[in-house]
Amino acid sequence: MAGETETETPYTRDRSESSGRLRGWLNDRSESIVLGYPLAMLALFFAVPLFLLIATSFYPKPSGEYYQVGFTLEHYRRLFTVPLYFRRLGFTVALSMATAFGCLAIGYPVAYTLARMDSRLRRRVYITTIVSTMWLTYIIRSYAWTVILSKNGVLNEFLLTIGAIDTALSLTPGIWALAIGMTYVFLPFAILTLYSSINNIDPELEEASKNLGADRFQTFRNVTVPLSKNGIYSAWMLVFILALGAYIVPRLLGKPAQWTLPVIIGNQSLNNLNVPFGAALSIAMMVVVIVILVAGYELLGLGSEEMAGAGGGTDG
Amino acid sequence: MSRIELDGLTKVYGSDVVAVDDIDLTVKDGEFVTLVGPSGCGKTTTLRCIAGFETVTDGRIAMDDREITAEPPYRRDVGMVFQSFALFPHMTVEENVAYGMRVADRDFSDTEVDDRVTEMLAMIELPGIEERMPSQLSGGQQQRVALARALALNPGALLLDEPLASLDEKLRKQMQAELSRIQKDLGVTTVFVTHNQEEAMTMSDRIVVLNDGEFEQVGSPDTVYHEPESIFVADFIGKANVFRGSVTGGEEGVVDVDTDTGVLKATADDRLDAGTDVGVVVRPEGISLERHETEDAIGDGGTRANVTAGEVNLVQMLGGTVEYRVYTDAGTELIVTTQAGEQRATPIERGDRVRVSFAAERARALSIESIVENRVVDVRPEIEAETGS
Amino acid sequence: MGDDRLPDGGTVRGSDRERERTRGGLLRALTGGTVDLPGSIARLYLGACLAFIVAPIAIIVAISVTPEQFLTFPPNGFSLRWFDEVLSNADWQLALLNSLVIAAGASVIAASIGLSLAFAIDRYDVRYTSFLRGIGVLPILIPPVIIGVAFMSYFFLIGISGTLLNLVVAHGVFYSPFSLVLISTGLDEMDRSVEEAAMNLGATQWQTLRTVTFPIIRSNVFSGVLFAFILSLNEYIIAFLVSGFTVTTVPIKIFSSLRYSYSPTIAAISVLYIVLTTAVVATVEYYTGGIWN
Repeated sequence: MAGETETETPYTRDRSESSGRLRGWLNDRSESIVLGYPLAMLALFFAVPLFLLIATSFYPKPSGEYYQVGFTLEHYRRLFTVPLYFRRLGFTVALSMATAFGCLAIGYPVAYTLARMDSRLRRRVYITTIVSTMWLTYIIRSYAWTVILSKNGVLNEFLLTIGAIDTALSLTPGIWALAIGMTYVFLPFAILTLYSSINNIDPELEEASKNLGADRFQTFRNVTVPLSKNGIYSAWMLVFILALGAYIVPRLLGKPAQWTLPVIIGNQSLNNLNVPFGAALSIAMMVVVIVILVAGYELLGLGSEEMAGAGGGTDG
Repeated sequence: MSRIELDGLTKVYGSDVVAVDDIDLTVKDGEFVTLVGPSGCGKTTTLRCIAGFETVTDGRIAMDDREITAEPPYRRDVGMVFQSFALFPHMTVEENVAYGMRVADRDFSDTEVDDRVTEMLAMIELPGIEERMPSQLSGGQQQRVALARALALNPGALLLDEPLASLDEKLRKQMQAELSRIQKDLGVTTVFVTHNQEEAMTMSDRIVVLNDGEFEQVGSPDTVYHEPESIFVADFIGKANVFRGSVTGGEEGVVDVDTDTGVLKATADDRLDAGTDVGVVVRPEGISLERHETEDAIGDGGTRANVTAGEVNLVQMLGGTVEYRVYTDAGTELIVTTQAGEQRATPIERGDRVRVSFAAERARALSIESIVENRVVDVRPEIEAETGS
Repeated sequence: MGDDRLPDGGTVRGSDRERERTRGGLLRALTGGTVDLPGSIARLYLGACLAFIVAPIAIIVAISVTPEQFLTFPPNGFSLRWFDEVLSNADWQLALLNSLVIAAGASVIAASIGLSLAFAIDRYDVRYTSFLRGIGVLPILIPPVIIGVAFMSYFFLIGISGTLLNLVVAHGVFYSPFSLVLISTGLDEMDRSVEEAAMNLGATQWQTLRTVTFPIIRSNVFSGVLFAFILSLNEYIIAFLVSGFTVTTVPIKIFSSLRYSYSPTIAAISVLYIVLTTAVVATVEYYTGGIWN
């Protein structure tokens, strides 16, 4: 065979015990490179900055400077004693939960209809459309709603023309604009997560249910929904986590009183140049996110990959 | 073509899972040897050691006189056909078959490659499919292409890892014949792995029955079938009726065994002392049936040393043979097969009372010690699953 | 649609859907079509939702071709002047160039991290496999504003801030989980015996990787690159925090422009972005045969 004439190259066999898979392919030196490179990148540009963020949250903030290396609990004291920040956190969580429920309610029927669509081509077109809008920057999508909802915007013009209202409504910025905008930008994530889950249900199970005498609604309630339970949980969780981190939509469509925690963090860090306090707020928010992720993982048995695979955040 | 030698081959996974336990085997030049056994018996591991996909824990592997134990897979002169066929999904049939020549250090000219591919496709009787993609081929076609690919470089040996397992029954039979033909035409040394004893029986020059990483028996299909050395082999190769009991006496290679069915006479190779727990193994065709009231025996009972009575539970026509399930008065179910031609005036039917008998020389007493308790008698459904497939 | 199925739920097998559809139609005709009411509702609902998703974007497109200075809808005429304005404006040109360079660099970094980590997890008997996977997907689970603040103070501390490279690295790391998940999926789904087959036929490890493994997972790698590219192109908050007011990307420029006016120029640049994003997504869908299916 051909290989016989080949020049001798060192072939280090794996120390592995597992069979079936071709392991130990590359020798040990290459292992340190192949594994070392991504770990070094993630350590240097992910872990270190995050640890630094924790450190920064304890640094004093002299006026006129970003921060000074040192130790103070002042930022955390401020966080816990000024009720504004807890109210903001509460508002952010409430808004995110509402958004997640809204996306589920609107998204589930869409996902179901898509999953049970016979025409592959039509389904591909719809899905490509949904995915495309999903990745479009939140700025452009919020901007579109500003155009629609503003005082001399499309909606007001339409309502004035048909005589439904006499004076233009002031909708944006406002809570309704914010609610619509949040639901709008995160709906595609919910639809796609639910779609993958419903798509995995064998349609014959639904047919079997109908064959046993259940009507459409009973089948839907007793077969489809329970079988897509994991999809429902992951979709809810995904939208919730993404909405918690939303920056653009509250900033552009909400009144300053409706700005969420990420907006406050951004403002503290940039406009007020109070990076340590921004860092302390970030840590507080991280704790909330981690608690929710862990609770989701423990209670519902969701894998983090499942959620990352379904989408993940684009920008704030 | 080459001779393969396994010398004390041992493969241990982790620290204590022994997959292959110190086996010695020489596959002669041009021989077709089948490794057969239940899943987890070590047959695939053995094959993968020969191919170089597993690190050998101990022992050596040689082809002709060249030791290849530590050689990487790509420097071993063996062709392999995988259970999943493992055709490269992104390459055409031509590219698949020519792959070995294209990655070789030796430069094959385009004409050489073309000629060889054409030749190989002719051999597998699928000329003209060069430009198709594997996904456009049927299972049987994929399997042939995989075979052509493995043989394109004229390897010293061919390794087949359950290549027929994913084919349907009819296609499997066809491919068995096809594989045998090609193997004999080329005279290529072949090691075949299967869990299907029927495949092993029909295709091999020699059969190696493995169990728990060790050899149970090595021999020609005929020897392994007619002279099983253990109850495991008797069970695994073909169908077998097993009566459990203990030796009460005997002489000159024939022993008396006390069983639920009564005292049975059976041949024994080894000296079996009185009191030894044994299983008396009788092949279904070694038993004869006769209707209780008439005396027209069917089948060849020989001198009927062993007789019992029962009721026919099931009659199945299996092409050339008829299979009966008889529930004996002693409470065991027996399988009896007869040639379909041996029909007589009033055929035996379900519910008939029958007399069951077999000669001592058709029965073999095998020691039970070597076998795990529950594999002995309660194996009936498993055997059916195995042979029925 | 699924609702073309026998309305009263027949026992027809899924594979017979084609035949079923004609029968469903017949049945519907016989029963006057009333039984398929839920189907029509579902279709209407889907239509309304798709309209909800697409309409705002359609309005932006309409505005971008309006000839007038102020936003009007529907537009009184058709003009490409705003596109011309955007593309000939040096500020927008720079922003677009920056965005494209950052996205290209970030996608290379994201893919290299994802590819090597996916291979390491898959190939080596690395312990803590799930831990490594967890680390690998973690960046995407952290709110971007936090990543942004962390990077901002990190880059400030090490004294390199406000360069393109900062944004490239920040986006590259933040979007590497997509590559990791996609490539891991590709490696998991791959039939391992094809690699063994290649080596059995005499290919060395390197030849096997090059001629068999990589071609099979190519579309996954490619999708990972495109994902990171499109996400980086559209990312605002991390970019803004890391940019230190010195690097301007398209989202940053749109955002700051929105403070002053809703000029149709913004609509025009948005349309360019919409086209770019849709083209990339459609390419990914084409190459992977629909990753959402």
